[in-house]
Amino acid sequence: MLAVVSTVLMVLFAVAGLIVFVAINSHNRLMALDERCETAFSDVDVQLKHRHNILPGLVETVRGFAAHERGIITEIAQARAQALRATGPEMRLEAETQLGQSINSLFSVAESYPEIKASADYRDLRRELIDSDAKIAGARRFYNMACNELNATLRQFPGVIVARFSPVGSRKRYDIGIERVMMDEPMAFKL
Amino acid sequence: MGRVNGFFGYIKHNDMMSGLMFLGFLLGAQVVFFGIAMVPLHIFDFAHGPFNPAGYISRYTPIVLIVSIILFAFRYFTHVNRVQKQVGFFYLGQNQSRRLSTIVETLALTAGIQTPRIGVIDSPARNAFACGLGKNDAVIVVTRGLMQALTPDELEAVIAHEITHIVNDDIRLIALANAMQSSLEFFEFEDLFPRKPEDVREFYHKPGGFKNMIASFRELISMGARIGRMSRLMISASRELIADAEAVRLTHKPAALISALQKIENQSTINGLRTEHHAMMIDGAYEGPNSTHPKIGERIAALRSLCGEMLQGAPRSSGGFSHSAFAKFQTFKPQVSLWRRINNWLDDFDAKAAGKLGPNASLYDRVDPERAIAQASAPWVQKWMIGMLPFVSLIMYQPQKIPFWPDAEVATKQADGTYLRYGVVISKAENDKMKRDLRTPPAMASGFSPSRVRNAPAETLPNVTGLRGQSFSDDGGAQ
Repeated sequence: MLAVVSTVLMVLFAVAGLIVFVAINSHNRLMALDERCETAFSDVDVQLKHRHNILPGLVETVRGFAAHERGIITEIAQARAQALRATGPEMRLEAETQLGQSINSLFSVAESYPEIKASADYRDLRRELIDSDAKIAGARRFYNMACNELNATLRQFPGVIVARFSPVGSRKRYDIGIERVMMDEPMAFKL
Repeated sequence: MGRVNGFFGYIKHNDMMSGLMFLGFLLGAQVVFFGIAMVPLHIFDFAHGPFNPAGYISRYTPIVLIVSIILFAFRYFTHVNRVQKQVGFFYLGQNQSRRLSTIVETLALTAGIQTPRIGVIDSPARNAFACGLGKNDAVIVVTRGLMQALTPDELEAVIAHEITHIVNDDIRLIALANAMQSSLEFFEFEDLFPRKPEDVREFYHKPGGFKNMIASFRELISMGARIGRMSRLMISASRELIADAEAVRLTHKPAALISALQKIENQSTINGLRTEHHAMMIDGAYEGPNSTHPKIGERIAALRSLCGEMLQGAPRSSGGFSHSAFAKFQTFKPQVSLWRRINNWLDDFDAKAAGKLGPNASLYDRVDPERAIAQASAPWVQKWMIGMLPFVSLIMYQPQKIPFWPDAEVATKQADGTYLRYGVVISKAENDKMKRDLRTPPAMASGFSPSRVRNAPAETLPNVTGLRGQSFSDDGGAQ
C-alpha cells in the first residue's frame, strides 16, 4: 500500500515538476521575444528619427519654388507633428504611415515643377530620403519578423496557456502597404 | 522546447542541439569502450563481462562515463588551440591592420559581445570563420586573400556574418561537434592499422576467419566514430542563411554582403583544410554527406528576398530581384529539421552506392537482387550487423563457460569415493555417465531415445539408474 502511494506521489511530483519547467521555460521565451521586438522597434525608431530630420529641408526647398502649394505643405507639417506627438508604438506606426503617404504626394506635386526637379538641393534631399526609407524598410522587416515570431509563439501550445498569466501581448506588424521605392523605380524610365 | 518560429527560436534550438550532442557523445563513448573491452573482459572478468550486463553496467559504465567526460572537456576547452594548430592562423597584433580591428570592434559593440580576437590565415583563398566557446571567448579569422579582395563595406558585412555566428552560439555547437568527432575517431586507430580497400572487400565477401574477426571488432569500435560523424548532421545549413540575415540587420548593407559572397564564391578553398573544419567557414561544401552549407546562389536569393528595397545598385545575379521573391520571403522558414537532414544523409549514401555500379553495368547487374539490397541499404546497417559478429564468435568458441544445465553439476564427492546427489548416494561411474549424458548430444539423444520413452527393459542401460535414482520401467520401482 505504502509502495503504491509513494509511486503515485512520485509520478505526480514528476508531472508537476515538468509542468513548472515548461511554464517557466515558455515564460522566459515570451519575455525574451518581447524584448527582441522592443529592440527591433528601437532600430526602426532611429531610422524614423533620421527621416524626420531630413523632412524640414525638403519641405523648405519645395516651398521655395511653389509656396502656393499650401495644401501638401500643411499636410506634411501636420503629419510630422502628429508622428512626433504620438505616445504609444501603435499610434506612432499609424502616424508614420500617414507621413509616408504625405511624402508620396509631395513627390508627385514636385514632379510637375521642372525647376524643383532641376534643383540640386531637391535631388540630394530626395535621394537621401529614399535611402533613409530603404533603411526604414529593412529595420521594419526585422521588426516584423520579431513580431511574427512572438505572435506565433503566443498562439502555439505552451505559449497560449502561459500568455494568460503573463503581461506579454501580441504585437502589431508595421506595414505601410505599397513600398515607395517600388513606385519610384519606373520614374527613371519616364525621365 | 517549442517550435522554431524565427531567429530567437533558432538560438534556443541550437542550445538544445548542443545538449543532445553531448548526450550522443556519452553514448558513443560507451559503444567504443564496449567494442574495445568486450573480449578482454570476457576472458579476465567474466562476472562483469558482456554476458553479465548487470555486472558490466555496475562496474564499467560509471568509469567510462567519467573518463569520457574528462576527455571531452579536455578536447572542448582546447578547441581554439587545436583549430589554430590545424588551420594555421596567427593572431593579429596591437597595431596591425587598424582597418580590420576597427570594423570588428564596432560591430562587436553593436552586437553586444566582447571584442573577439582577430586571426589571419596566410592564404590567397577567400574565406573567414569564427571559432570559440561562447560569446565572450571567440576568435574571428579571415584569410589574407579575403582582406585584399574585399572593400571595407564588404569586409564589414562578412565580419558581421561571423559575429552573428558568435551571438547565435553556432560556434559553441561546432566546438562541441569537433570535440565529439575527434575524441571518438581517435579510437578507430586509423593511423595504427589503416584499413585497406582489399581488406574491406574480403571482409564483406568472405565472412569468418581470424582476420575478419579482428576486422569486425574494428567495425564495432568504428560505430562510435560513426556516431561522432553523425554530429555533423546537427549543424544545419540554415545557420548560414540566418547569419546572413542578421548581418544585414547589423550593417544595413545587404548589397555589400551580396557582392562579398560573389567574390568568395569558387575562391574559398583553403588548401589542406581538414573536413571537420569546413562547417565553420563562411563558405564550404554544399554537396555530399559532409555538406554543411547552402549554395552561394541560394544565399544571395534569400538575401534579395529579405531586403529587396535596400538593394538599389547592388550587383544583380541571374534571376535578380523580383516581386515574387519578395513575396516568397513572407513564408521563409529556416530548415532546421534533423529528421530531414538524416534522410538526406542516407539518400547520399544510396546515391553513392548506386553510382558504384557505373554506366556500363549490364542489366543483370542492375537487377541482381542480392547486390541491389546490399548496395541500396545504408552501409552502416550492414556494418552494424557484422559488428555483432564478435558476440557470435564468443558464444561459438567458448561454450563450456555457459552453464546450459546447472542442475546436472550438483553432486558432491564424499570421503569414500561415492557421490551425494539430492540426498541419493551414487557411484563414481554413475556420476561420470550422467555428466557425459547431459553434456554430449549423442548421449542426450540416446537418453531421450524412443526405447527409453517407451519404457524399454532396464538392461539396455547397464549400471545406470534415472536422474533421481529411478528408472522408467514397467514395474515403476527402483531395481
